[in-house]
Amino acid sequence: MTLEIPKPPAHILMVDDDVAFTDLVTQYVNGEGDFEITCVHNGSSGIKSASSGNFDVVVLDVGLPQFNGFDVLRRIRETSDIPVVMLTARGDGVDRILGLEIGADDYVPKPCNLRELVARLRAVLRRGQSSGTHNDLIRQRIGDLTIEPGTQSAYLSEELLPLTAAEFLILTVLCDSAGEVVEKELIAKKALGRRILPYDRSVDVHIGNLRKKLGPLADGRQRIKTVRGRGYLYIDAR
Amino acid sequence: MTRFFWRIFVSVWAIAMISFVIAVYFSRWLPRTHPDTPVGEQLAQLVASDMRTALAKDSLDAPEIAKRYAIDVAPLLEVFILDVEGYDVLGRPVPNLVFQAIVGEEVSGWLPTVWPRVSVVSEGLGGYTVASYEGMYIFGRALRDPMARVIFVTVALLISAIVSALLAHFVTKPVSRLREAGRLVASGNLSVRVAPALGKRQDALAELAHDFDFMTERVALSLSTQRQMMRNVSHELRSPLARLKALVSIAGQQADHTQPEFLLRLENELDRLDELIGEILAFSRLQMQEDIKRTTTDIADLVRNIADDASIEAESNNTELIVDSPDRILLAVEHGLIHSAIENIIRNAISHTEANTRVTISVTDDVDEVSIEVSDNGKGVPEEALETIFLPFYRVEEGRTTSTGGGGIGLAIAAHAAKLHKGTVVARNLAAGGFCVKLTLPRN
Repeated sequence: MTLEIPKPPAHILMVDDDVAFTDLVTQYVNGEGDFEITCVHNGSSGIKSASSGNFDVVVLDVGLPQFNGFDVLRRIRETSDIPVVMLTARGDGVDRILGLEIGADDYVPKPCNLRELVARLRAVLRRGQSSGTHNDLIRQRIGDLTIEPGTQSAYLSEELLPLTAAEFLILTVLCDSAGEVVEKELIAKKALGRRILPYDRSVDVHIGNLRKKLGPLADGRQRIKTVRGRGYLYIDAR
Repeated sequence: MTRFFWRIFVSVWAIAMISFVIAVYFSRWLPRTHPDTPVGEQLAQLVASDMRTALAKDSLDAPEIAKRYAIDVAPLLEVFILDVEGYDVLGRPVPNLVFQAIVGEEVSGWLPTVWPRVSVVSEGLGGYTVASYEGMYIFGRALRDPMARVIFVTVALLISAIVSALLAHFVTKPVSRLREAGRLVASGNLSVRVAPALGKRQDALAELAHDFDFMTERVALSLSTQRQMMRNVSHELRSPLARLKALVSIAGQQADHTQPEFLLRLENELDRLDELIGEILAFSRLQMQEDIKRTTTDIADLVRNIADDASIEAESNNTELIVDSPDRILLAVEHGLIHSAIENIIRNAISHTEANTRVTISVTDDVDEVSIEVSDNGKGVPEEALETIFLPFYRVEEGRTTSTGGGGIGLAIAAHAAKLHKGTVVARNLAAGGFCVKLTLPRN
């Protein structure tokens, strides 16, 4: 896995008001050797920096003073699709789901083990890189949906869909086995780069976002079907 | 409360009745008037005989006699001496009734056949006429007639009963309001106020109601201050905790990713601390919620979804999750609250059931309620703890280790959610071993 670490070093933007905490994160991340990190301590500079194009991934604390993390995320999403990992308070499921719905790529509970944070960042960054090892770089067509793995983009009736990296990967995983049930566990592993946790709704929220962006089929059915207790299925309407 | 009302009612009424009876009894010793001839007539006869005596002596001085009998009780009893022309010898105004009686006209007026009574004597008085006028003394007269006595007693009884009832009501109503409010406050509703319900009363009971309201207000204030503080403190605790965990991560990194066991344990304890803070915050957030927003929800679907989510946790304990539910149960609930209530009951069952056993979730759809029953194959709890397990952070046994996952707020959340939906949640030990929690939600 470590072979896929992007080079040159990925640049992290951390938005968190606790200076002592960001100092510790900086120290840890520098110790890893393959990252650069810049920390800002309020929402408005977070929005400015995230949109500057100088960063590869944003770590965003939910509990910022003034602008909270969700507001910042909304503003970032207006201009940029940079991968964003939210730091949420543990036990606050609503925050997590809200973050994912607004367009966060993943979340890490705070206080967190920094090893876990870095692992999530690597997974998110890997997603952002076009996975050259895939042998299915050819465009795929399922009905009016077109997927281009090369450019990481999807089109519905020739119109570009505004998908986040996670959503694009989940859609790819589902379409690779269109018409078959794909287990949630497998979706999480392939698209989020991690195991699914108990009471983890990330996959479901991403699927919900995808359904909203894709819209229903011509006959009114949802394109992505929930198969209870098993997983999800992309209806093959070819 | 009704007993209190009747007590006051009966006492007040008894007092009224006793004083009535005593008064009637002692009135027997009052001097009796001649029962057969009305007083007015006697008086007229007396005046007439005086005048006749004077006439016989040929020394009649009518004004002098009239003065002698000018008593003070007019208009109840008055006697006039009229001259030939019909004027009172003392120049007093003479009531029309008296003239009508003298002329022999039918007497008209209020209850004319009985009252007032006019007696006229004119024979052998040398042209003068003596007329007495007897006004109304209702009670004395009424009591003479046996039928009137019955009516009088009945009316007195009725009126005194009504007055006693009103008085008893006046006293007991605020007391019953206070009691009701006291119970509501005890059950956690601190928004009850008594004084407005008592209107403009200003007596001691109204003051008591105001004091009660004041007390409730203060209790509510100090409770909310305390909760606020709890929240703030919990929130503040998270920042140093985040730094601590970061420090542990750095220590692990410098130990070259081979984490010594004590670092792992340190991390586990920090996680436990974080979990507790999360629970305190979640519970205080829940406590502040007083209203719910109901939307129509398919409870059967909700339960199956939660069971799916919980299956990962169940599998790690090799627990089998069985859902027994009708296909579809629509009920208006606050989705998020009921979701977390059911989830917490199920998680509680999964964490307490013995390994390699099953947890059964059965949903029943009745006419007036929907119930969700979750049974596990665990050790259960002592009978005396069946209610207290719904308190936040309650522990069944003293000194229970954290590894069994005791305490917590899962069931407290379920209980609070049930209360907000006017439903119930009860726990019981199963006869065949195991433990069962039942959440019941009323339809409306």
